[in-house]
Amino acid sequence: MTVTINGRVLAGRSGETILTLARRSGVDIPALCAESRLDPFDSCGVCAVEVEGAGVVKACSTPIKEGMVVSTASPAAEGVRRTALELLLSYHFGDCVGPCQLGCPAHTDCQGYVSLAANGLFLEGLKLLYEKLPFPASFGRICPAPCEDACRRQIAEEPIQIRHMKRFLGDQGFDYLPERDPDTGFHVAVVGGGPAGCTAAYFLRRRGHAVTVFDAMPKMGGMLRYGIPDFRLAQDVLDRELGVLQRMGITFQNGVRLGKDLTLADLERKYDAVFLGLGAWNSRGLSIPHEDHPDVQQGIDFLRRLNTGERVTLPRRVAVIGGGNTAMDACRSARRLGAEVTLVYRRSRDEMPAIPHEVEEAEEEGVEFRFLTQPVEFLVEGRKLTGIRCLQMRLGDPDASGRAKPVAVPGSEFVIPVDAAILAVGQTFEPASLADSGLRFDRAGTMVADPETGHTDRPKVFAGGDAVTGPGIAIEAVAAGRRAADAIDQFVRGLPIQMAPGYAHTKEDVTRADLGDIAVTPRVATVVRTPQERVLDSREYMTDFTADQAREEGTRCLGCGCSSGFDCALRDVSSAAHAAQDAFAGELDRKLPDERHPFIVRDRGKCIACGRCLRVCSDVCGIHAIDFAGRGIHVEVQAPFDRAWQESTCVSCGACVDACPTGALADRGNLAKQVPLRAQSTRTTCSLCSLACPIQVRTLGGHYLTSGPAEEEGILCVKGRYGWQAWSPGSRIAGPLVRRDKKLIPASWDEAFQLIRDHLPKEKDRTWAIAAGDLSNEEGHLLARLAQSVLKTAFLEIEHFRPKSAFVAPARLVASAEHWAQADLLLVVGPRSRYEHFVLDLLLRSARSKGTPTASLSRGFPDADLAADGGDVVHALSELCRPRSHSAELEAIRTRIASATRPLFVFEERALSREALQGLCDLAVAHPNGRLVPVRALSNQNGLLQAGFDPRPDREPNRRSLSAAVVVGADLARDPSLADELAKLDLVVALAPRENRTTALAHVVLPLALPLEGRGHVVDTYGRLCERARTAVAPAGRENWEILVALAAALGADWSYPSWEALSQDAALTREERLGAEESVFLPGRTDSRAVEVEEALKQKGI
Amino acid sequence: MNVSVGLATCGIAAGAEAVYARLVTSLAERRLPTTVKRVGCVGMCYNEPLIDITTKDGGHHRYGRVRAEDVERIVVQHLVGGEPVQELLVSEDGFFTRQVRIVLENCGLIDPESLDEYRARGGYEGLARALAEMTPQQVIEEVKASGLRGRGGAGFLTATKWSFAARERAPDKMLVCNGDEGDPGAFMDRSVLEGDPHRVLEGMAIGAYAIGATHGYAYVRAEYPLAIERLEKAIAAAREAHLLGERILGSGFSFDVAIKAGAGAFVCGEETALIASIEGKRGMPRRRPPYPTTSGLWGRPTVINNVETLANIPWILRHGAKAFSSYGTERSKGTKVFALAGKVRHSGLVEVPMGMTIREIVFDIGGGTRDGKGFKAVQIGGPSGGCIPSSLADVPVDYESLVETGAIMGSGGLIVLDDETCMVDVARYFLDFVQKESCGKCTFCRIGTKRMLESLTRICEGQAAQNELEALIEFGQKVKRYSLCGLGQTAPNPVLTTSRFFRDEYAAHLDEHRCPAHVCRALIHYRIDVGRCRDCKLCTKKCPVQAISQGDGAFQVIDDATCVKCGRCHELCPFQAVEVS
Repeated sequence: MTVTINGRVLAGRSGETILTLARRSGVDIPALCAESRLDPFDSCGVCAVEVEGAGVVKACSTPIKEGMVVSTASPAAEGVRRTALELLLSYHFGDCVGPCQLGCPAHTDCQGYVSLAANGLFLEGLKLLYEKLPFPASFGRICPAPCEDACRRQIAEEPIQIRHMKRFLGDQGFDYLPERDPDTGFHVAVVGGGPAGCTAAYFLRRRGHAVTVFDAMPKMGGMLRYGIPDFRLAQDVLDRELGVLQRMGITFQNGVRLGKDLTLADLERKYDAVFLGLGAWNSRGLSIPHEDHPDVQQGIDFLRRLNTGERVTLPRRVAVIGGGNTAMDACRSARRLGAEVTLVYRRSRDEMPAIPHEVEEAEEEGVEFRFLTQPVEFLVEGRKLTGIRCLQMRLGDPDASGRAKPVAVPGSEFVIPVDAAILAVGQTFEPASLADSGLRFDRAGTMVADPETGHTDRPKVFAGGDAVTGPGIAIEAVAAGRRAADAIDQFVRGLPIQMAPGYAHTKEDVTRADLGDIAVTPRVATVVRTPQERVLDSREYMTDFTADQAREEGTRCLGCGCSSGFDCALRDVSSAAHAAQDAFAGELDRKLPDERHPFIVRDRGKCIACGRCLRVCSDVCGIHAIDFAGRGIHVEVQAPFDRAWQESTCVSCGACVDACPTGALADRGNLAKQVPLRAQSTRTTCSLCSLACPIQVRTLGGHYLTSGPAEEEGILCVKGRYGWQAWSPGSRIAGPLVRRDKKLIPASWDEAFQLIRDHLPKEKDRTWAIAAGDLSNEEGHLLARLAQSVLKTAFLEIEHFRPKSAFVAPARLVASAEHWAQADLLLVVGPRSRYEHFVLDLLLRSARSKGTPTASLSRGFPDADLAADGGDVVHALSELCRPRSHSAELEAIRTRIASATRPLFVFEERALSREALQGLCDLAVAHPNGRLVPVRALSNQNGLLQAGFDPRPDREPNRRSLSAAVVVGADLARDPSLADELAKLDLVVALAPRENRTTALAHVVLPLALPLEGRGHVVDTYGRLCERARTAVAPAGRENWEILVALAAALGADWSYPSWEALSQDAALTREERLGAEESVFLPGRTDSRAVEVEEALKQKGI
Repeated sequence: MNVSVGLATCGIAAGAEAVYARLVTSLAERRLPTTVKRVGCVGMCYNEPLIDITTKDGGHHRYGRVRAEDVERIVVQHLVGGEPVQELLVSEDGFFTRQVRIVLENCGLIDPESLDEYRARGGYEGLARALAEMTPQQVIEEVKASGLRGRGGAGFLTATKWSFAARERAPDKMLVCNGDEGDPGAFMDRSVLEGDPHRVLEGMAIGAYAIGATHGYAYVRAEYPLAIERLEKAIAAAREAHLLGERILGSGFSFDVAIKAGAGAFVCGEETALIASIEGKRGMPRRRPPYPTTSGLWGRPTVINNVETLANIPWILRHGAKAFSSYGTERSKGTKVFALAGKVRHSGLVEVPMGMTIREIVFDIGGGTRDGKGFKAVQIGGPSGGCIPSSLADVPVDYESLVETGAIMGSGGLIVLDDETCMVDVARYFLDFVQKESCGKCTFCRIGTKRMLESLTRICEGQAAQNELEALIEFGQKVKRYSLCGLGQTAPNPVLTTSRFFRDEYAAHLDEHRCPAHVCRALIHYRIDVGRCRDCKLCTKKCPVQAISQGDGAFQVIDDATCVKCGRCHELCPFQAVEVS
């Protein structure tokens, strides 16, 4: 069938929908409710496309027809799509990003770094700051912080101290150098070393371009350096941050003035692009008599002289005229020079453009304020300035700026006696340097450039900052610099300049009730020098947070921004469709998030009722724990009776979270304070059973966050999904411990190794080496070599492969992956409920839906074609071995087995007794092609057996002869009888991730990395090799193989491995030698401590 | 002498149980041999409770609005004395003379719990004929010749639907009777199920025979307990008499019916939602195709017919297609049952031949508007139907003519509106109903109807923007087009039809902030005419919010700011001194 979509002729399959064909062919049709695993639901309306002759239809549910001509982007289709989205957005209660980030002109991720600080991840916070701002420490001092004005926390009490957090992170003194792309060969000139220019240079450098910054002043920094006094921003802070830019490879050239030392034409000729960040360095005047008197000076000149280190003196009485930040800086600087300062401002305090806290601090420092005062003449007697003649003003109607316009009160003239005056009534850009450049200027004298890209009329020239916008706050110049860098990057690469559209949904009219149940927590107070002290010198008067204070302040953050802010389909589609939030204003349920599940946060206000979660739950997972409830606009996804989800039939597999196209369902990450992040994602293998599912682990700077299925649309059981999270936090052992005076105390590696060397028995077979079943092949190989050549012992075991209880089956009975694929009957024995082995349940049902008959002796697989009560498994299995069974159900299963050509016997090993294992084995032996599929409690028992661990009964250690034990990963002492035995030994060495019952009686404890924290390989149920990656970093910083190699070396081994690769290769070779030689397979019929620990951790979480 | 009391839900609600009890006691006390029959709805709901007395010679007297205390007189004077109590008799008043009763032929006449009475009036003859004399294909042909169309609303040809299912090759097919009557004010299906349940079962059995179904479901909403009870009894009796179950009437045909009580979601009347509901899932529609006749209940070919449709079948089989098609118009054959309600004198259940005009129904049968107010419009087709203005009152009631007006036949609600009705308010009322009943599946219905309702509310409150109506109509078209099922696809109809025929009323709300019918509270004001006020203070005493107080003289005044516009003063004032503006 031929179908044309957007002009492309595609071969369609009969019966498929437009959407299926498009997705198969790589044509993008946005859709929110559609998913390949599910039947069309026809709900969201976003997949609207136009079909010639049929108008706009929903692609998800419209079958293709021969000759169909489809357009995905026709105006009609886009109109319907936008309408559908706007309806959804009109009933969406949430924020894509926090109001702080939207309030920041440079869109710094305030919530991100504040929350990272709350978790103590200061370096990660600093890195995040550097994503948007190259001057965190400087801006952490001087930014007016519009982010804080937008902060919702102030609804409860006070905004988060976001600015101060920037300062703290910027001051951490990390040796951090932002990463940058490889060199591109393009070279960009930046004129002006202030915030706009330096920011543009920084982002261009990060993109790999060579950048040279030219500046007329002796040092870089522009107004940050020359317009702001040291007590607000110490120059060494600025120097340090400029140093980062230089270390990144940006070239600084100072003392070069545009129009004098170089021309724009020169730059255009020599460079691929030019950015002009020239600033507004000219001062406005008042145009009143005697303004040019030598004792009347300009505020920015005054500040510049101070900042260049010039010795500046002032007479006793000084008036500062103006109401902005420069006026405040001038007042406060003048106070520090010992002057009596009067501020003269023509409106009232409320109209002052200066930041309120700066005004307050100026007042504290003794500045006198004369509001509603308009100077009309500087009074001069002889050569001396004696005073200012002023008019009293009153406030009239608002002017163009929206502020009340001051109006003179007739006959109100008076004189303020002063000896000097500083004018700070405004700054402008001086276009003289660009007189013949061909650039355009508007009436106010500012440069004309595209407000988004900064592109000027000259193709190679971009501009930003105060010279373009008129004087603004520095963070706006940073924003302009970054936008221009984006544009220049595209320009030099010859790409059309496009700024990414970004839809950001916001909660509107937020009230205290919308914040939920939070405690009133005022901001953390830091030490500030007293006003009396601080006017004595020009040093900074604020102090940093301590680390604890930073964490505490960060914890106050309400976390407004969406946890799915970076991967929300609704947001992406809304951006692309230019949808508006307020197109359909109306009722909106202001729902608070449901936090009852320990791992899944349901932000109910963000649900778009697409039904994917509940359809995956019922149609894919077969669980049906959740469904829609309610009618009309109030329809909501709920577990029955709106109970917490985990209290329904939910198996906590998290498949609903993966299906959610918005932030309505999200995994809670493993940080105390949740942070929406672009985390690192690494594929590895789950170790929590021998199915060894591929998992994707998200981490940040080596810290585990969440795990999920690695395969698209894959599903994990609760252990693979949330088990790691439930289990991995808590106090980890970060270094070696040794027992002294009955207490474990931290020790060096050498001390620990020394102690082991001293107490290790010298005789053969006196030491017991035992490992948890989830060690990798490589770790197992090392332990085996250690046992053989250093510990000199044959007693090498896997936990619970206890010779007396283990059942030995012929190796040929174990099924391979091919056997599974070819099976014509699957008999299941083991799982007591779906919940216990949900992935197995899914595998079985998938086999069944593909036509493989299934039979079950377990309650854990209720969907089997044939089922018998598995109450007494041993009895049932023996019945199945008889010529005829008394029970009709069992007889049906028996005959089905007999008639099958390739039956598989799938069982959960730990659920079966030795007798049951015997019965199963008999059943398998009795059938010519019967095969066993043992599903083990941990991932690598198979691999360890192949590595040389040998639990045959004749190798059982003679307990009385033992005097030492090396226990790796297992908590042996969970078993009281083993605890007694361990307690009698002269030396117990425990390698453990955290303290447990075994470490409690160990003499030496070494820190062990968890399976997610080291490389290696494991062997799954079918004997396949699976790779394990190092996703996170253990607190001790070492991988287990490094620890074992070091231990071996310390104990005098004559072998070592120079690298991981060498070890891995050796382990693989040894394994290959052993493969095929196996005649038996060991089935323990019990479970490992680690599997139990994970289950207990989950249970503690309420699952 | 035959005495019967109407004991359908409508009669019971009006107090018929007490009347019945008194009648039985009274007759017993006098040891009169007469038994009292419990019958279903006669249709004259406006006169309930009703007692019908038929004498052997065919004389028939009907007492209406009977109170328990009236029973004694009727017994003494009429049953004993042979003299009817004239002042308690109701006049037919034209109510029945223009009706043609096919579906309702037994309603109110027979004891619904008596299989014998049903059979005595020709019941199960149609089924017997079909099984004995006809092949399934012939049954379909017969129904096809009758021209019967589905009475659930859409008017799809019943025989065509049957033939789709009949040609499917599947071991078990399903026939479902849709008794999920959810329209506010509609009670046709309930009355039939309560008054003549065997008729529905017979129709189901004939349909099942025609399509080859083995299983039947009667989906009846749980709010109809009496209908469910009577249907249960009827099923039991029919099984007993081999009219249901294995080898019906000794033929090779087997069919049985189970009842599924629906939990009362309006959308479950939609056939795919109804299927989901029977399957135990949430009642949500799905996209068609596949149509239920291909893949319906549990994936089996399924025919879903409305109660009224099925109730027509026995009559057609008994009297032949020709007799049936002699009623009605070219393309709409037979009759249609309506629940006549609203501002009409004779509210009740009526059955009229297709093609009768709205005017005839309202005036000749319904007796015109109540209190002689001006006839303004009828609302037809259920909550998502439309309003037909009095200027179009001569439109014949058939499927096509109604669609031309923008309304639909629907399942049979017919609400008469007089000139005290605000059409904008009516649209808002129905849209509110539909919005609250949306299953929430698709965006355009779930959120779109809500946004339409909010817009309409703004109009009613005088808060609307300049182009609000145009935007509303345009958006309403989108909701119609992009909603998944009939509920959303018709939800905008009340707005679209009222704005088409009553544009001036919308304009008054929009431009002048005035509600011409004095209904929209935000736009009306009550004022006391000083000249008429006699200072009796009745209004002041009855005002629920104390908005009325002594004026500056011998009169009362209303404080407009406090007034909640409940209108009680206006209704109560003996001197008509309270004016609405």
